[in-house]
Amino acid sequence: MSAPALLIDRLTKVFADPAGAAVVAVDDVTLAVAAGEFVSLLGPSGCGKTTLLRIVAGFETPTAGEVVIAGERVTELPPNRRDTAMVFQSYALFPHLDVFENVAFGLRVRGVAAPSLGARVAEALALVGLTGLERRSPDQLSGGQQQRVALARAVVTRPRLLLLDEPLSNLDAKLREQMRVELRRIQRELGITAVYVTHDQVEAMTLADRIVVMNRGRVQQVAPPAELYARPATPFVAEFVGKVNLLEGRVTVADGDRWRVALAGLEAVVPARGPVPPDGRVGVVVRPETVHLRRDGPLRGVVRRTTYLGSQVEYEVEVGDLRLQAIGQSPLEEGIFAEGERVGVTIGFDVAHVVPLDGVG
Amino acid sequence: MIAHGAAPGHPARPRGAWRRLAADPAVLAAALAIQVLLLVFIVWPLVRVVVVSLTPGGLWSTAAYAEQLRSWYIQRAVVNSLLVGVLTAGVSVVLGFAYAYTLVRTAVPLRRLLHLLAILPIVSPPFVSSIAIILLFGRGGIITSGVLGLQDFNIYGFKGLLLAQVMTFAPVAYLILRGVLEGIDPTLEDAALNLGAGRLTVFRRVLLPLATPGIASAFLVVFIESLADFGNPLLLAGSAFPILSVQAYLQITGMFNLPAGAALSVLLLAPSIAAFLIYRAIVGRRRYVTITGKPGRSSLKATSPLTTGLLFATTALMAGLVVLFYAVIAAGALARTWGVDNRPSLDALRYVLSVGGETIRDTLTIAVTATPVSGLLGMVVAFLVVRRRFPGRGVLEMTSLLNFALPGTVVGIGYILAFNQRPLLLTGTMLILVACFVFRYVPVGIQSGIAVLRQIDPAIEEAAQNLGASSALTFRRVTLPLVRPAFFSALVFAFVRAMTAISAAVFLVSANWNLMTVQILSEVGSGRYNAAAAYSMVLLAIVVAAIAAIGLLLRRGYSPVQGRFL
Repeated sequence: MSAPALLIDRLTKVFADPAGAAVVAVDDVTLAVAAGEFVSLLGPSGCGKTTLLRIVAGFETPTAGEVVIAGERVTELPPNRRDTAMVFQSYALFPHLDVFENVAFGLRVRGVAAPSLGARVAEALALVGLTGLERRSPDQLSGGQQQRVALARAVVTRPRLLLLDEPLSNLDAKLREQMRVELRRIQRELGITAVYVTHDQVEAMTLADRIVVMNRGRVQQVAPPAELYARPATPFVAEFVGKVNLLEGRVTVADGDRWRVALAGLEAVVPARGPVPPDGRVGVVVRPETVHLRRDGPLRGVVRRTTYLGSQVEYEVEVGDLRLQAIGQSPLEEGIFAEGERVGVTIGFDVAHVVPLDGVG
Repeated sequence: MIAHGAAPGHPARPRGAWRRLAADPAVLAAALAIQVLLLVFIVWPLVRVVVVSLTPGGLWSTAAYAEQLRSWYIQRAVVNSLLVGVLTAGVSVVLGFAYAYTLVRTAVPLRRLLHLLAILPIVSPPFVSSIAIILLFGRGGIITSGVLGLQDFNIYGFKGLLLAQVMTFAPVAYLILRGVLEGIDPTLEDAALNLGAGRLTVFRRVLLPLATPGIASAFLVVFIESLADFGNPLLLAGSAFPILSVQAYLQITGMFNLPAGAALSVLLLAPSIAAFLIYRAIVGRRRYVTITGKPGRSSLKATSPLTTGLLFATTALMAGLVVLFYAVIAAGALARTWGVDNRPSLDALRYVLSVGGETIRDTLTIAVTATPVSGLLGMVVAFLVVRRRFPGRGVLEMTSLLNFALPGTVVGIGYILAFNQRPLLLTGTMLILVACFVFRYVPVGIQSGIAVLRQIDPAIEEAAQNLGASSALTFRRVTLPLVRPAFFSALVFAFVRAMTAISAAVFLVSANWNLMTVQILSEVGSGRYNAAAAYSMVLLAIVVAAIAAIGLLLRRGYSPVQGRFL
């Protein structure tokens, strides 16, 4: 098996904050990224994801650990010799150069000469759909166009790694959606290995082959999007990715691949997960779209809040001592329950997921 | 075709502007009053200088110019002034850039201290470097005759003047270039590194092109200041190295030849105005700013450790020179007779505080009067220019700026020519000094006010008016508090300049109203170096105390970086 495109090996970065105290920004992170893979680093601000990306690019020096790119140890290599093109959050387009020269910059410093230079810049601009804007100055471009120039500038040198630092955060919602699709297309077309930093879980889900969820400098879970959503490893991941009802309970009966869990006032049978913790306490992850409201049902509840969103309705429903979020699909067909209305509730415990509770609160 | 504005109830724009002005008489009155003041105190003196230079003997002719330019000595003065101006600007920009780059783009220690040491010459009278140089390298200098034992070393002339001006104006270049470098997003350097560029390439292809307009501005500002400099050439140029500003002064005060003095000051004015127009063209052009997003984090990796070390050494050396200069002035102030008997004594300080007491009081009175007027006027003009539409708005801004490009010598001569007869008989009064300082230093307040106001959403002021506040009330209760930082830095600037000004003021002092700076020059002229040094220390103490007081008032350190120059 060949070496991974990127190997981050037990990496730690400690900063001194302005007061002089040590802050652990990245805490013993290990991660391997395969060639051609699209990996997203996801987490709240301050979780260390950008620092990790900047260490890979060579802008920060790690306190401990190694960065290995395609089998080559680069931990001490300066940023200009790493061949890891980055798309900056602010794009960092050179304001004194036009679009063509911005894209050509990396080629010129590599000594690529005239005929080949023009062809490769044209190819990169075609890839991002900016053909014809070569002589524009960056400040004559819209935000989306600037974003594309930054992307073309990064990929034109065929770097070993493409690093993206929240590149879509400065675009409006509609443009962001459009650029997501395009980013994925371009990455696939070029077969380039990409590491993408974001705090937006939807962005990570739609773009990445695998998502690395980080919190407080530590990796919480590494998994493909579907698995991350269905089987979060920790309460943090469950709450950060998608909406969730995280119910605290105690395992009463562990029977093979099913556990019986006592929740506040009711009992649920959920899929088992590993050994039962010594004190029996677990969190049960129930996604709102698996909680269904009907006219009648064995479990009775009261609708406490109704938020109409057009294609669906979000409810908050009270069942005994539990308050649950639920989603009603297609209100045109299914109708809408009013606040205060009494309803029957089915909870999808058979597709629920159990997480350990240590570290909560 | 029917314009939108012509529809009923929506009067066309020009008429609307007048109508709005009529509805808001405070704005109209303020705008008119300010235009008149600028006309009287900026344009009129300038006109008088030109007219007097062109009417020797009462008739229109260029004889005064012809006569001066025929003189070999004056020809030399023109060449010398330009040469020193260009060299001072060149050296100051190189040193200032190195200093600014070290403090902004590397993580060297003592950055705060190094910054403060660079500010010190800016808040001092512009000729303290000359006094320090004389104390160090002059005939009784501790280095030349003390350490080296040289008997015939002559610091006067080109090299002494160049050294003095570089020490005086390199800090100005530093402040401008610091602003320039802080305005360039370091992420751009990171991006270039990331794309494979080496450090030298990053500097050459990214940082330097982006900084070029700023570097050019710094060069031109220092060139203008060097040309206008009066104190240093008076003390250090010597008669073998004539300088225009000093020659103009000598024609007026020595020979009482007004047309000749006026002609020489117009010769001085021409290159200054040219430099100023180029400067405006550069600054007025579209400037490179960070395009989008929040300013990124920087790695400071664009400078190698070796380069950082070299830069730090250079910077420390320059800062060390500043320390040496001020230490020798302190030593001079506390010595018995400099170069003869260097034992400590308080005689010089005692002399300054007793004999010079009245001069100190005069200087303070004038500065304290001019400062608030200048600061407030600056904010009002900035407000009118940014927020109101009225006829002559562009002229207003331009006139107030123009005064800054005028060498002090020109302004001083202009004031004595313009205000020596009724109804504007002001020569010999306190008012002429106050007016001179107010209008000379108001452009800085205007510029920093404009810069701040342009960043404040007009909707905030509209909200005040919407809630029923008049224009004047809105200005006082909303605008002024918002521009407070700009206002206070304009106050500091006006005060410092009023305390340390010399080139225009030297023409305007009188038996009744004398200034410390003028007194210092006269002490040096009489060879009383101890007294000159003692005056300088007292002056510096007052200025530093005032800055500290205003800084405390504002609860933040005075940062002259913001809007120091145009």
